[in-house]
Amino acid sequence: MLIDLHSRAEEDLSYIRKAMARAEGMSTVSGRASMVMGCLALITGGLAFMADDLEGQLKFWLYVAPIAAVIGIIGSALKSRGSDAKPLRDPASRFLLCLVPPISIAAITTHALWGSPYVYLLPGLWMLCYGCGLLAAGTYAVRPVAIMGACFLMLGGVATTLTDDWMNAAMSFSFGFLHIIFGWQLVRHHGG
Amino acid sequence: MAADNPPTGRKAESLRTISGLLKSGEDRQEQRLLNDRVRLGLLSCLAVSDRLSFSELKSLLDVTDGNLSVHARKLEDAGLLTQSKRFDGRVPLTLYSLTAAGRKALERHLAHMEALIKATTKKKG
Repeated sequence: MLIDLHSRAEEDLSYIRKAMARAEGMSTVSGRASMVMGCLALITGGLAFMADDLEGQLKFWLYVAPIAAVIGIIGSALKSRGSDAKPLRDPASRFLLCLVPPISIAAITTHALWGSPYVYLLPGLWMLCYGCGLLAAGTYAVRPVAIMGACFLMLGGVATTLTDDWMNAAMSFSFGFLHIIFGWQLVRHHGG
Repeated sequence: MAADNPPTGRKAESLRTISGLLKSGEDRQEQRLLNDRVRLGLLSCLAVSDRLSFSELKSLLDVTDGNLSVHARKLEDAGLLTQSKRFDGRVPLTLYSLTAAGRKALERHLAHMEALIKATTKKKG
């Protein structure tokens, strides 16, 4: 009986902690910012089609990536403020902590492989790393974030098998449409 | 059978500690209310977020509309949370927030759980 009470109490505390962490994450991810990032990705994809080769196309994406990151951060800060939660505090920092390591790996690998014959792997790598980050960050956020991460992982896996001609289309589809679709979900069901 | 042989020694001491955690009838009523996971989840979520909508809570707790409504109503009747309605454009939005009594009830429940863990750990050890 004592052991039952003990484990029940521990389970209760663990449940409370998880529920609180998830609720904190509710106000972390901005659907509107995600949709803006998606639109930006579609525009970037359109512009990148003008480049002659894959490296040229990737340059467009690399220039836009920091802008998209800033949009995401500002969107999260605004959403947190709107819901009376503390902006850019615990939930947002946990979310960022999940995203930063895989994105750093993608950035470092991009630097290492630039100019090599393996550049064709980079779009898939970026999708896989971003997907990993979102999947991990989904632990602290609402379910669509983790599902979006899983979609990025799947598309990243597919992208590693594509030829150079399809890479820009794969990046546009994943970073564009996935952000817009899941951003819309967040706006509709999770408070903006 | 248990009534014929009341627990003695360390077991009795542990039971006394645990029963001492449940004081009044009101406390027991509150504990019964919070023994349900959905209701406990509702209070926990609202403890860290000032206001959450019905759909947000539904997604967070992974429950059906009916289930959430029933549990939220019970907590509302007990005065542990409040409900307000507003429109987001043309979409009606039901928002929930924790009352001061609800926050205190959750704090008491947490204290009970921690005390239980301490009591049972000490006796097990």
